[in-house]
Amino acid sequence: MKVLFSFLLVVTTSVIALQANAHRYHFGLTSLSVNERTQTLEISHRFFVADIEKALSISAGKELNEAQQQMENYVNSRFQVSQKNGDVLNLNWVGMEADVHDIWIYQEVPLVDLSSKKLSIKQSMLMEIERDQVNTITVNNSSENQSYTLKSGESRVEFSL
Amino acid sequence: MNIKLLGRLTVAWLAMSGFSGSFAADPLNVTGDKFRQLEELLPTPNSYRTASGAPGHAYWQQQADYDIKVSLDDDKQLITASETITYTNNSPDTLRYLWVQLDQNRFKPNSSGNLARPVNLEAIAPDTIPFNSFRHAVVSGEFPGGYQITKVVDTRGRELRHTIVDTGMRIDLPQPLASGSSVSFQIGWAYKVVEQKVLGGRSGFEYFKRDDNYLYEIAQWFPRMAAYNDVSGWQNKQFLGSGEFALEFGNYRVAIEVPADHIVAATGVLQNPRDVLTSKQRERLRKARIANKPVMIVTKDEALENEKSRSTERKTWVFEAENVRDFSWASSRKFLWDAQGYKKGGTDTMAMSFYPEEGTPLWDKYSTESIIHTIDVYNRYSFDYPYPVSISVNGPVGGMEYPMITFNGPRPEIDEEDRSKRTYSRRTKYGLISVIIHEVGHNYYPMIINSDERQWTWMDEGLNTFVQFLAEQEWEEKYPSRRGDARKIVEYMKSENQVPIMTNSESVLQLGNNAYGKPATALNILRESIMGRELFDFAFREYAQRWKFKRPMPADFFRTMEDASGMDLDWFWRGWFYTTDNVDISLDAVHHYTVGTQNPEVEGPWKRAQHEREPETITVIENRARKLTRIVDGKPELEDFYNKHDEFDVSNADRNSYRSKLEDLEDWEKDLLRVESNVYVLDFSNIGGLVMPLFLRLEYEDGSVEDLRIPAEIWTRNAKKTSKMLVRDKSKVLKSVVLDPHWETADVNVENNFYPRRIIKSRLELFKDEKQRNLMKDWDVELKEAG
Repeated sequence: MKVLFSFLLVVTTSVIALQANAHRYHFGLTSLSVNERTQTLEISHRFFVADIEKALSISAGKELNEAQQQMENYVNSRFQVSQKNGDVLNLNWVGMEADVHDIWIYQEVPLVDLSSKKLSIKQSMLMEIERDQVNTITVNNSSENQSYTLKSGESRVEFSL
Repeated sequence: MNIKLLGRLTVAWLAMSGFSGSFAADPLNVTGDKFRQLEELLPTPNSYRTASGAPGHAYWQQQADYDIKVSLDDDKQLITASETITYTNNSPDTLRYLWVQLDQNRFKPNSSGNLARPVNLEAIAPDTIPFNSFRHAVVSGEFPGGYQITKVVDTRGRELRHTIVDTGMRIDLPQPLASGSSVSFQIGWAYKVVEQKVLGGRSGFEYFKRDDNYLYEIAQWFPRMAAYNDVSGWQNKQFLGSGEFALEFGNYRVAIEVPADHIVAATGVLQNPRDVLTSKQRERLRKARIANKPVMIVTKDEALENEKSRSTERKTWVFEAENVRDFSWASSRKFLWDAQGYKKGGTDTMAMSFYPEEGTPLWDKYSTESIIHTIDVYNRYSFDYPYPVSISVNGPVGGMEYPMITFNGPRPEIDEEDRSKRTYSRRTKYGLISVIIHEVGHNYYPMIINSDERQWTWMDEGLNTFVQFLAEQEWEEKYPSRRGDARKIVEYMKSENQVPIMTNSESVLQLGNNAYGKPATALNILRESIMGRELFDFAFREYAQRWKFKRPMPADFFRTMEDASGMDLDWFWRGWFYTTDNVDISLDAVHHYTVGTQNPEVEGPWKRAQHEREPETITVIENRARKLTRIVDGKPELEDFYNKHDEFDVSNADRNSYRSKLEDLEDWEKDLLRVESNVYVLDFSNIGGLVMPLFLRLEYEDGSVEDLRIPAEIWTRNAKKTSKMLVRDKSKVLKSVVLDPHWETADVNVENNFYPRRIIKSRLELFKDEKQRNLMKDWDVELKEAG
């Protein structure tokens, strides 16, 4: 079997330190929360700004607004929520915000769009950049929290809301 | 006799929520008694380490002294060197062999580290691999990294039998090394320096294409003694990449031969400045020692000139360092160099920075100032910095610490079309200051408080990240610290698949949160919310004082903090360091009571009033509306005594009974029955598992606010449910209660912290609200630097 290069990354000109040095580690957190009041499934992703910049080949100093569409495409290509029947849910893009260290990305979907509580998600953001990327998923509804750890090679999980 | 409290008005019962199955995992099986003493988990105290957490009367550690000659080949990026190690066995044991660490062997194509590295072929799409990952795989499989050991001989040149085991080497001694004696031997070696940005690691070279120059950050570069101690014996766990180092203290003399136009920075004090520095540079160094801002030793213009030079001459820089556990250095013809002396208390040091011109205008402004600030703050929390220099070098390594010298990565952005145009973002600026504070701070933890990094990452990273937070907060108001505040760790604490902090370095999941963030936050909570600053700071400093230039273990830290503060903190260590429980305390109910006087003259009318306050039944209402006639209306002779007195009327029998009961009471008991206070009982449940103090803000109807801090020991009898009774003056009617109003416990769910309940908006909702007000933020506004 041939191993193909992913050409999307050819444009990543910044040099990437593959070996996490002493003080680098790669970690993302995705939360799915049922909001009973607004009847939506709220999704928020939290990543390090530096890692996201690498993934999008953008540099510090670029304004959030400019990167919005690029970010939306990136998230949609690497984060997907599927229904029980395999259909990929259409997530509404809410927006994103960031401070010096972290970036938060928000998406949501009305609960009525879900045909059942059984969902499957794929969260492979940044796994193409850092081989030790760990994405933690937490699922919160009013009565319990679940949590899953996704790594490269195991970037998909099924659960029930 | 008991006082009866009358539930005259139950203010509220709140529904309990989120209660099903959300207790976090507890792999060490210590759930249950959260206050159970740690004795059964901690090692038994002995004459090496006492029960108070101090070094015992028979404490010992080995000594390893080095005399090294090294040559750097700038054309081939090759290190060639030889060393004499003098190893002193201070242990009570006889050693038949010695273990030496060969860290560079991690870069051998067939090292355990390389072989055990998983690959991921689904990065973008199935069967694809990013260029960089593939380059790493190809290069690490081909790069002739690792040590070539050229000799291992005794002082008379006789070969010593040795066996290389991946990143370690066992040297078999011809004669066993008895307790109290020393042995010297020589090792020769060579290795190819890795290109850090390709193969990573904690050292390596960076190539600058524009001016065809190399910048070297050299570390883990010599065969060095593995640690031998009373707890682990030989610490010869392999170096796989995560678990850092366990080393012995010793004295070093290192002669570094480099191209004559290179500038060298190293652990220790330069012994031959006349051989390698110009008289102008030496004069500037003298001025820098007493300057109050950094003085350029090599200016930008001089460095740019030097960059063009291609000297074929060689120069040897000789450094000596006393009582260090490691030695590291950097070399390049690109270096600018600035310095400033710092003298205070027992500290007398030269803070110095070395950076290529690509580091300006950021390094010249912040690096040396950050070093001095770090020492100033850390000295207060641990001990006076004892070394004569403290250096920050800019090169390919993002952030790494060695004794007296640190490697720090952030640089400004350069417009390649006009190299004078340079900008740096907020993140780069604070990233640089923070990383320098962090790495210089590592001089204290673990370079001097010499914990075993290969075993316990948190002992250096956690403690250091905590003091880093304190130092950052002393840099400027609202400094954007990444870790320290309780609220920053909530998301991690909430996630379920964690390992306890007390986990070996290589097995830690999410190293950053586990070994840096959580312990740093735990210590901050301990300081601000549980012990108070005075008690905490005294104990934390005592730990540093006891263990400087020695090797502490986790129990020594836990025990010292209790020993010096007089507080039993076993519950805290147990919960935060040995489990993955989180804090989620719920305020379930607030009950309102007043005192039952038992006086029938008071209680009868009160009971009647209570009865009358109940709503009428629907039957009574309907009957009245329909003007129902009753039989007694027409036949009053059917009424008797009971129609005139109801159950609430006070009888003489009641009065007599009350008087006789009252006669049995002591005066103080009678006084209590006359108390007219409001009595509140607050019910709490512990959903997350971690016991914590209860911080309450009580707001009363009269507008007054009371802050109440109840120690964690309220959970001793029952760690799942507890109640607290508050007796307040008659005038104090409770209006609302907030649990943990300042978010200081890292409570993962604050929705259940309120009476009455409040709606807590999600972060996403808040974001949407803000967006509607059109206040979208920029994530990194460029900072324009003049000039």
